[in-house]
Amino acid sequence: MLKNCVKMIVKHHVKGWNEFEALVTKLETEKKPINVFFSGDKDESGKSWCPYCNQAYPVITKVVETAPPESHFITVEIDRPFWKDLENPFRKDTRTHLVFLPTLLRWKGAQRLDGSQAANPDLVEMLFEDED
Amino acid sequence: MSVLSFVKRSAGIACRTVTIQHRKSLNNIRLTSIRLFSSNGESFEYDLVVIGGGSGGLACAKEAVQFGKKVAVLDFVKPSPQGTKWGLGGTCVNVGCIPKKLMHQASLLGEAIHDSQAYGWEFENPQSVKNNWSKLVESVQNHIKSVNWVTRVDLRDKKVEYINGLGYFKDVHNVVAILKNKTERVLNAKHVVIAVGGRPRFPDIPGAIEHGISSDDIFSLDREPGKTLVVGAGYIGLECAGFLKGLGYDATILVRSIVLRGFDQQMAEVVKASMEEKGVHIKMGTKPKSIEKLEDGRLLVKYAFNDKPDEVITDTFNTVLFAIGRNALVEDLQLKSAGVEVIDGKIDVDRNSKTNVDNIYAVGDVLYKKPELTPVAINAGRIIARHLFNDSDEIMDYDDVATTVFSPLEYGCVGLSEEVATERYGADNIEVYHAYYKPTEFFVPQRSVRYCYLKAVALREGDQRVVGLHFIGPVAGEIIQGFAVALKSGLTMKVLKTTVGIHPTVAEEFTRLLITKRSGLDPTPATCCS
Ligand SMILES: Cc1cc2nc3c(=O)[nH]c(=O)nc-3n(C[C@H](O)[C@H](O)[C@H](O)COP(=O)(O)OP(=O)(O)OC[C@H]3O[C@@H](n4cnc5c(N)ncnc54)[C@H](O)[C@@H]3O)c2cc1C
Repeated sequence: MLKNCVKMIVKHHVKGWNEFEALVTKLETEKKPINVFFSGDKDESGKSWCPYCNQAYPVITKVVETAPPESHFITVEIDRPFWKDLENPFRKDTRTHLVFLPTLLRWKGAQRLDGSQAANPDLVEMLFEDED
Repeated sequence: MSVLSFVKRSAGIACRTVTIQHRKSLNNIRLTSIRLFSSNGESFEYDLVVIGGGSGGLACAKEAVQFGKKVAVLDFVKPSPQGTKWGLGGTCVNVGCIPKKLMHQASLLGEAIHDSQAYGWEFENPQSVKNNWSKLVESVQNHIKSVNWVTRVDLRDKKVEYINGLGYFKDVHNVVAILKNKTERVLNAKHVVIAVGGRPRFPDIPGAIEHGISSDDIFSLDREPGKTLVVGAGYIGLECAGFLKGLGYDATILVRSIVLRGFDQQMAEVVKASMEEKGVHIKMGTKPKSIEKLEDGRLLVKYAFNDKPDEVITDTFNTVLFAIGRNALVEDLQLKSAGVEVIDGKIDVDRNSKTNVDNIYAVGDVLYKKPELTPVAINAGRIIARHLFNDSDEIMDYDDVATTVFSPLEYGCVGLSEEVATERYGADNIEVYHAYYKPTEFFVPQRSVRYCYLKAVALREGDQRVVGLHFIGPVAGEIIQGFAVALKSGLTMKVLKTTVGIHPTVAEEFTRLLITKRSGLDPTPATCCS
């Protein structure tokens, strides 16, 4: 139990591709699971331009609290014009290859949920708990 | 964050985790206490428990939940003798159709790269073009892993309970799952479906299990296969030898008696010849005797021709792949506890896919004398669910199932072989139309058209109902699928002959079949568009 108490999921929050890539490249070296939530960025009121992201956000936030401790969780906010550019690296980079926002995925893994799946607590829980 | 607040927060998280887990187990208890009542008042924990999460089992489970039923699927993969294991989804997804088709495609692309030069594509050092095995394996395995994941998402989404455990029968209504941590969980079920599939067989010769591999291992092999000996000439053996050759590895097949048993033997001969033309060595009438590992890691194989068993031939290979057949996985099931009968290591079912035990059904490769194909298992699995839970009287039609051998030059067929048609109707009552043809695309790169061949087996009388169609050539699977629909709809030669083709395609050759075997005329074409 004590062991559990000192280990916890490490949360990160970045905006845009460059910040994301720099962070994930650094975290990769730790060889711990990295789960990433790609979503539309939010306005002052905390709402995103991407409707499904707004649905997924509270679900994921809640599940993260009970996720396996030895892991990283990155929230990536992406602004609308950047995302709408079909040539943007989130879509084009073979490591992300995003098609939808939101997408929740295990970095370098097969686990991926997108669109309304990312707002399904059962599925989100399964993604966080899945061992590679 | 101070150390103290860090510890406090984490403690909070840890404790929350505990409460949630606690709540989960309470949920489980509550769930298990909700029992389902059958008409005679008996109660069960599950409406349906499926043993085996492959093509047939998953299809059955997913269909059953559509009718609001409580369903669990057990799936467990025992590692191969070489230690290969894989995820949820069964043979087809992990070690069958899917990786096989991808490696076949990789091999065809190699041919296409070669051909492309005649079509004007230029690249430096065409001779140095080679396949990178580990990259191919990585791509194939990544695709499989994403299919495993999507399958689990699908099950969770549809509320099919997936249990990663090895199942066996305690009695007719109770299936035990042996979980990863060796604990056992009893699942009480009204109906049980056996969908355990099969696994490759190894021959009883020295060194086979220790040094040999099978189709279970090849698609994730962590080293280049190199010079490979394939033992067995069923479709799996031919396909493996075919793609390995196409990827640039020396491939030899040992054939005990015939190639592609169960398929039309004239077509089988053509497939065999086309593989030999591509450089696959095929040794007919041979049997392996032993495999030894040499100091340098290579495998010394001793084999002999059936008619000269004492003249031992030796050769060395990097890989020996056994494709001599598959055994249904009935052993672990403890079928006796439920009274399910086994015939020749398989399970027989009635037209509703029911075994000799009233509430136990079976589907897929475990079945006695049924085609071992994924779409067959899927269809039959769905029909079982509709029969059990939706009062459907639909029965699985095992006749005229189309299939394709993905040899380098593919062979697709539907319906009867010429032999079976002859036996069933008599030689005098059937007419066989056949032709060699020349795919337009083959001319430019001067690819061999020698083995591009097709035939239609029809009844002789009246409009000549077609009972079998056979095609060897590119994309045979894509072609035969549509013709299978026609055949099942009662296709006649009269209709086939009045159908206008799509030019230039290879599929149109079926509409141009005019020469009968009986006429003795030459079935080779003179020019491309005559
Ligand atoms: C190399 C190869 C290529 C193939 N190519 C094709 C093709 O191109 N087209 C085609 O249609 N078919 C192809 N097949 C055949 C196809 O894969 C099978 O027909 C199909 O997978 C059968 O489905 P199934 O549901 O009967 O069993 P499977 O898909 O084999 O699934 C059975 C599952 O049950 C599990 N299991 C077994 N025992 C237990 C137990 N006691 N408890 C829990 N779980 C258990 C197994 O581990 C497995 O995961 C190919 C097969 C091979 C080997």
